[in-house]
Amino acid sequence: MEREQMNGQSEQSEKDIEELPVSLQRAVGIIRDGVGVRWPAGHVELALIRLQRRRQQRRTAVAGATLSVTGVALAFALGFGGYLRDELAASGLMPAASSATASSIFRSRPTPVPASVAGSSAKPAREGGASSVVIPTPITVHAEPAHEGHLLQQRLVPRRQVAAGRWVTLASERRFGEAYGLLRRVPLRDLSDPDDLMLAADVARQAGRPDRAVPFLERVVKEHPSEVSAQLAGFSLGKIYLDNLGAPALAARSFAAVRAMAPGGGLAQDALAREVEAWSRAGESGRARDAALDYSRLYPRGRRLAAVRDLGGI
Amino acid sequence: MTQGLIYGYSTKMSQPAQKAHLHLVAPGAVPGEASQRSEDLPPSDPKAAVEEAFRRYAPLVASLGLRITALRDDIDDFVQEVFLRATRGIGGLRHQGATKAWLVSITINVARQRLRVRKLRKLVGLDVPIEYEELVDPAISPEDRLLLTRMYRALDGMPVNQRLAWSLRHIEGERLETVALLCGCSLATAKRRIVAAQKIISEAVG
Repeated sequence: MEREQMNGQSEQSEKDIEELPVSLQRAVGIIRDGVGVRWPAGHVELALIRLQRRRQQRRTAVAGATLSVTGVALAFALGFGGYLRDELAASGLMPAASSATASSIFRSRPTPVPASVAGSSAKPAREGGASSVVIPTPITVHAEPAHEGHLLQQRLVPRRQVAAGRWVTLASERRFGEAYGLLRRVPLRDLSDPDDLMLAADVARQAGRPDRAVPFLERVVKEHPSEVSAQLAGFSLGKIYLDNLGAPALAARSFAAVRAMAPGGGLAQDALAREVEAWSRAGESGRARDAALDYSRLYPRGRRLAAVRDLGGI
Repeated sequence: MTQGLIYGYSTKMSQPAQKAHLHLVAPGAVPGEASQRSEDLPPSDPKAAVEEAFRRYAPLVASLGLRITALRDDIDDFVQEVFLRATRGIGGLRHQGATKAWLVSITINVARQRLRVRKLRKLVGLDVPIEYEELVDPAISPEDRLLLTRMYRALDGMPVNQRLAWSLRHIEGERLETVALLCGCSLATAKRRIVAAQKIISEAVG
């Protein structure tokens, strides 16, 4: 019985598919005969031109979109990479040795003791190369108490506070890569002490970012000109401009400023020698010559006399 | 039943009980047999092939799209969309003779998309009402115009897939296998959709 009913329904369906009621046949006839597009002569060609134009627009749009997406993805990847590195550094999961930049600096040259770590007992050297102007002295760290404890506990403290306390500790442990990761989170205005500023500059340099050390050093020179560290900051600034940033004219002015701050100071001779070198590299032969003459007059037995004469052309 | 538009489609059923396997072939070509006629070869220059296809089939695409969607104001844009899609895919066309059938299948896909978008717009109240009377010659009788309006309103009220299946079957006069192929469904599903649509239209138009 049920099967017969199903068969009956199926037959009805087939009938529905094949045959239309009269009213529907009429409606379908109206659509078939009456609904259509009658394009005037030339419309097809016009439409074709529009199609070609639209095809070109779409190609341009696709190229633009592809470029934009690639740019955004690249920016995101770079940003996320930096964030991840900072997070790892902040949580102490990234070992100091893994920071390739910092470790390569350690290997490539002797590490000067940070002025702020050395404190006011740092003395400019009279003898020795320009890269070893600081005499190592017993380290006295003026640091805020570090946030110790479990990582989770540290997370409960605002990040800035953690960063402000911990970067000094990491710097004193010579973990400059990690210290720099935290230092980037500390607002510049929070650092005002010349020792802190010098330490921050040293951390940036040792982490392989000498360009980031410049603002700290400039602040020391401008805000604390009477401090001994101002001379050291000026000298370091000159070295960064000359050796790292390729700005010899700025370097020469920095070295001149060091000499002006303390003409009889321990850094004056080296500053003048480096000033000659900087003017020479800047292509300012007249200024290099003047500075070289000054050097010859002030330090007739100076250890850099030969090099200064050579660079100054005298 | 009149001859359908898409005679370029061939239906090959290996066994009656099995699912139909439908292939796109040139009109008159026997599936599986190699042929060296120019129509059986792929287009050598795709860009020129699209332009040639546009000149030949743009009015057909426009009429088909208009009858199925009734979107008169958008018909130029509709045709452009069809041929833009064709531009992307014509390189993969294996027989020039199948161009017409292939364009019809693209037309159905674009129509499906447009109808769905229109339904969505209607759902959120952004739909612009269509004056169905304007689709036909003003000279036809008011009764016929009313009938046409009721018919399209009934079509608007049903699911898009049912509308497409019914329109292809009864307005375009396609064979059931072709309807199934164009709708991307099995023969049984195509039949079910047509019957369901028929029921709705019969209730609405009477």
